[in-house]
Amino acid sequence: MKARILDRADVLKIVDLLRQQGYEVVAPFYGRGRDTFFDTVTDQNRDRIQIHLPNPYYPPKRFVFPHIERLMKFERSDGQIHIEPVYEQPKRAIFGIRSCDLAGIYHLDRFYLGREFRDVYYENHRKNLFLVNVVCSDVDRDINDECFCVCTDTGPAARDHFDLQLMDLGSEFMAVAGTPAGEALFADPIFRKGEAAHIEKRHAILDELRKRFKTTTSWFSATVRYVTQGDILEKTWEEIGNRCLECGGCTYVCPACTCFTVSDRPIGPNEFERVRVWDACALSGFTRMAGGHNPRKAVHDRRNRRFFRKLAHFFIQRELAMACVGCGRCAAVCHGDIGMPSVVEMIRRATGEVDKHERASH
Amino acid sequence: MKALWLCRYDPVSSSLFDLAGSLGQFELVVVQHLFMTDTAKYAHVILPTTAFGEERVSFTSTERRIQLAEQMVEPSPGLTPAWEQIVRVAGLMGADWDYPSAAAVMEEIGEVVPFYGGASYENLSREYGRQWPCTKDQPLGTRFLFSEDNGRKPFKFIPVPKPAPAPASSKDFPLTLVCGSSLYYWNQNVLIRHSEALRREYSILLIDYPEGFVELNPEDAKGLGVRDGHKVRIYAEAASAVSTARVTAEVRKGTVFVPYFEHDLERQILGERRDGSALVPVRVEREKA
Ligand code: SF4
Ligand code: SF4
Repeated sequence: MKARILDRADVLKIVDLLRQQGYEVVAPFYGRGRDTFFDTVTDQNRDRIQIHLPNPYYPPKRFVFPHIERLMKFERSDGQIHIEPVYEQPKRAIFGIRSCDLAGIYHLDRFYLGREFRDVYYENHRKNLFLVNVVCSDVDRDINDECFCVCTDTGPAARDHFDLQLMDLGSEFMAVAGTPAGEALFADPIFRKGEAAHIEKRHAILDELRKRFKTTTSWFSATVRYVTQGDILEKTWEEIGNRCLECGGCTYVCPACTCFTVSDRPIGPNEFERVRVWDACALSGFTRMAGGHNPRKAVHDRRNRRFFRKLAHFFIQRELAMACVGCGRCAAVCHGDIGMPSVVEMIRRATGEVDKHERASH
Repeated sequence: MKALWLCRYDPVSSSLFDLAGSLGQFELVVVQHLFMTDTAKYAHVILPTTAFGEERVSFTSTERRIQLAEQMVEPSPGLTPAWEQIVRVAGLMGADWDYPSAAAVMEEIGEVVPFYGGASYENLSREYGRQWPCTKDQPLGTRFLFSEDNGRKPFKFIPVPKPAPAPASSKDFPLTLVCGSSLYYWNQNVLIRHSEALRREYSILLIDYPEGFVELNPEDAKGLGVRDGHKVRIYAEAASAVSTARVTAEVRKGTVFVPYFEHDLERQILGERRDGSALVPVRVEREKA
């Protein structure tokens, strides 16, 4: 991978370069209070783009997998039904995507494009997507209380899956190209060659950063084993399920959740659209079958579904990683405090008790 | 009374009684709403309004928080904010109401409602809004209403005894009927019907129990020989009604839960008491087909 150095004052020129190349650029902005969000860059808001800020709760995954997406249109006329598929194929760049969310997009790639059937809708969004990753290096602004990407090995500095990565070195930034498209940007005069001192500085900052993560940790490996082997007691799942209010929030904020439902709805007197909409395993309609039977009727039977899908070995093998990238969003939004880190903790404690019990009885 | 003007209010879907009939008495019913609600069907004039995000407008929540919502998208052509429609109708009726924007309306509110005195749009646009009282002297609002440090008397907390079982809990009426809201049924459900995932959750309940349902705890159900989906008759002292049992551990043993949208059942059982908050002693029996 090639790296270059640029002045702090030139960082947003990367956004300008991408816009000149015809990309719709989305970047993070501040709302009110802690609120932050990704929005399309225009001439008016360009100077308000933030490099360091708390990661938006609404994940940038929606740029490859929209919350609601029209798949096709039906029209009824002269006793006939005309069906017209609708594809959106934007040329888009995400500027300032965090390392965890980048790993989330890679996870979606594996899921939607990695096997026998490729998802055309996803592919169309993904094809011309340019990803500019920013390393979370500002301990106060970038790293929230709930962040635990060090435990999922996805951050704070991504190792791949970006086109370009930016890291704040103080008065200068380091840019690393991850793809030929990223490297092509280095032709612009804002970039210059770096020196060994820049690399040393990068390492020093990253070494320090790893020590500065806050209160949240997630000790996955034992939990992965317990989940995979089915060692978790029903009682533990019940305790977890009892704390779930079935709001679906954890799924809607998760950069690695892939589920959707499909629904048809009228859009005019003789017109219908078929949409796909994000769906959540916490909701009972998600698993209810057409005949009325629900194999996962109890809340805890649905709640554990989330953790099987994210942590069981079968899925890890298939997607080459856990379906949790350590962003901490579910920990921040869950009313019942059963985000990923808490559940991993609850399982570890409960199963530790079982181990102890078994040892004593031998 | 000859005319009724309803602003984003849909009493026909939410009321226990025949409101549609009462609306017929009016010479003029005007409904301002985002959607074609059940009430709007009885209106003489429907004024479609802009939605959240299509206009710059403020909301006050139950937490006393006055928040400003910015306009993020253009409304569909022909839609105007509710306040503007009122101003224009007033103008046509000869009143001289001169409000150039929602911010100007808020300014006037601040003049006549002392505890909104500092809640200008400019002030509200910072942070997550302000909690009233928000006055000129206290522009940041008031986080706790009765805290000692703002000079007012603090709240006094008194322990509440455990609620007594329903008054006539007896052999004849051993269960308590509770009416309340339901997870996927919010207020008049106008919004839920427009949200794909929530609408599905709500419709599934209706597919599984097309004639509605009451909820029974599995232990109680077992004792009564009732299974999920069975028809049951609920007897109160003065009345009885039939419904379908939804057997679920989500309700406590000893209670029969009637979700909010079961208007007929509520009407039959509660009769004149009909405020929906009473705990009624009842008995449940399986209704043989
Ligand atoms: S955020 Fe928490 S309460 Fe909501 S569905 Fe997820 S686990 Fe349940
Ligand atoms: S499970 Fe939670 S912490 Fe993990 S990626 Fe999803 S939202 Fe983030």
